[in-house]
Amino acid sequence: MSKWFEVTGKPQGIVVSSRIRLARNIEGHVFPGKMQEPEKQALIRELRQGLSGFDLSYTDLKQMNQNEKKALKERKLINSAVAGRNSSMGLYTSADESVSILLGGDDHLRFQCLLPGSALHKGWEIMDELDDRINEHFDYAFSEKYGYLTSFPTNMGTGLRASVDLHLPLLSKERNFKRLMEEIGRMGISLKAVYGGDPSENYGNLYRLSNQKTLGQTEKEIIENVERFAMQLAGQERQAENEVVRTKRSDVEDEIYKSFGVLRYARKLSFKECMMYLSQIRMGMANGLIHMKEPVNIHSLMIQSQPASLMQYAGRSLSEEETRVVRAQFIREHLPECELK
Amino acid sequence: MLCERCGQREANVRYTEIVNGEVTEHNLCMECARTLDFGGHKYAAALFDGESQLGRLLSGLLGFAADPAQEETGADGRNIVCPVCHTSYADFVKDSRFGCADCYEMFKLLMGDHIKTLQGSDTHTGKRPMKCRSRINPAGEKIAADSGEGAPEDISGKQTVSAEERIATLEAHLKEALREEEYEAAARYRDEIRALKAEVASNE
Repeated sequence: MSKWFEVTGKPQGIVVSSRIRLARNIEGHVFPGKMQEPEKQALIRELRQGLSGFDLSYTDLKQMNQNEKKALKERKLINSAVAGRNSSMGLYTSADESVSILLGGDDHLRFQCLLPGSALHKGWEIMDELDDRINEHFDYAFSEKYGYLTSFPTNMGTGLRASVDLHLPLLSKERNFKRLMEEIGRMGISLKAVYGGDPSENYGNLYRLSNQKTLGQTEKEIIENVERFAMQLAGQERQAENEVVRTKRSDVEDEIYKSFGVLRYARKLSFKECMMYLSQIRMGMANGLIHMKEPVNIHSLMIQSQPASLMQYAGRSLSEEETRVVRAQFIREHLPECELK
Repeated sequence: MLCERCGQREANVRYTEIVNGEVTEHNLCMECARTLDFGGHKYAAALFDGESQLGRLLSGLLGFAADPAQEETGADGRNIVCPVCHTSYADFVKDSRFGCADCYEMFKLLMGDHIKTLQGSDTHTGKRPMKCRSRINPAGEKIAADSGEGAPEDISGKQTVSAEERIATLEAHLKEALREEEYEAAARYRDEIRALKAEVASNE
């Protein structure tokens, strides 16, 4: 079955994906950070017993090697802190990996829903229901004042993180973008580069918008707030793209087709190059400047161009040099020909 | 006062531990405090030396480090230790994380308005969990939890409301006691609150 990010046919616009994550802890147990291994294993056993009827497949993270965990991180199923840990943890995933539950991470349970495009409300519906289903089996650590009690004070209350990944190739080039990022931060929303830390070192022009505050607002309010900012940014990006297509069409086309050429024929690709060119193709496709002969999902190529995923693709561990070669090969195999006008 | 451990240097660290309402106090010098392993937690060393980025952030927010005099005396109650998971308030500030659900109760007065600074609010208004209706027994079979006495209608009864009011009053006392550094009284209030909460929970 294809993964949630591999789906083709849907418009691949500025809003790349949406994510809803909830953090929950079970009453009567200390948080995982304070647990010894045997205690944690017992907790995971207990959780698995409760979740056994769910239509999700289970993976024992302790049995996985570093690279396998890194690949999970690249597919956004776990965060880098969890990927770097060796203690007992378990992961439930749905067949398309859009729904997953992490057991024994920083909180007893963290579950998330990843969907393509702008889909925070749908994601919330799915997570709200999953939350209720889990709650039928376990009592949550909850306080009337502080809401759901979590390891980090930055998650307390709703335990909700709502985030949207946006593709902002033009907006991010604007001089005042950095200021915009800071400005948004003051509104209780964070805007950060998905790949590469510094805005000037961002790969693929992907930016993640997410709520910083989890307490004092309802889930709906948090989601609507993030969505409102996402729509505003997407609207501005769209305007900028329309403007550039109108006034500098040949320049833009030139960049897009050069990028396409490099991706089709390169024999070695660094992650940075690969992301930069894929970003161009994505923008070109969204604006009808380039048409592929077969359906392709650019976001999926971005995800799978990451080192650990490429090692899984190659079926062996790779040096940095080999990774570049395999990346170029992977892209050649998966990026279809384009229509020539 | 001289340090009770080395008996040579001036004691400038007061260490107060409350475990199950039992208050123990120690007066130590900085050197001895740094090397001591209090109740299995080397947090004294962490307290003086630990400076993680996140820790600094939260420490700044919680208004410590700014006042070295207070830092040395521990007069702001940072030596309070959660009786359930043994996370000290210093640990909490250093790592920016709670060790268990009870830490919230233990540290909430110390956190005071800082949670509001961090979160923009200090009261949850979102979703609430439903009370567990069925549980899984060790054999993995579901058993109805709400059969027999304690019908679900009782849940929102008057008794619960008044108990909550009492809890609120006690919490105010607790806050006051902590402000006045009356840790014994604070521990008593805390235990009363906990007992009341357990009572409320069992009534549901």
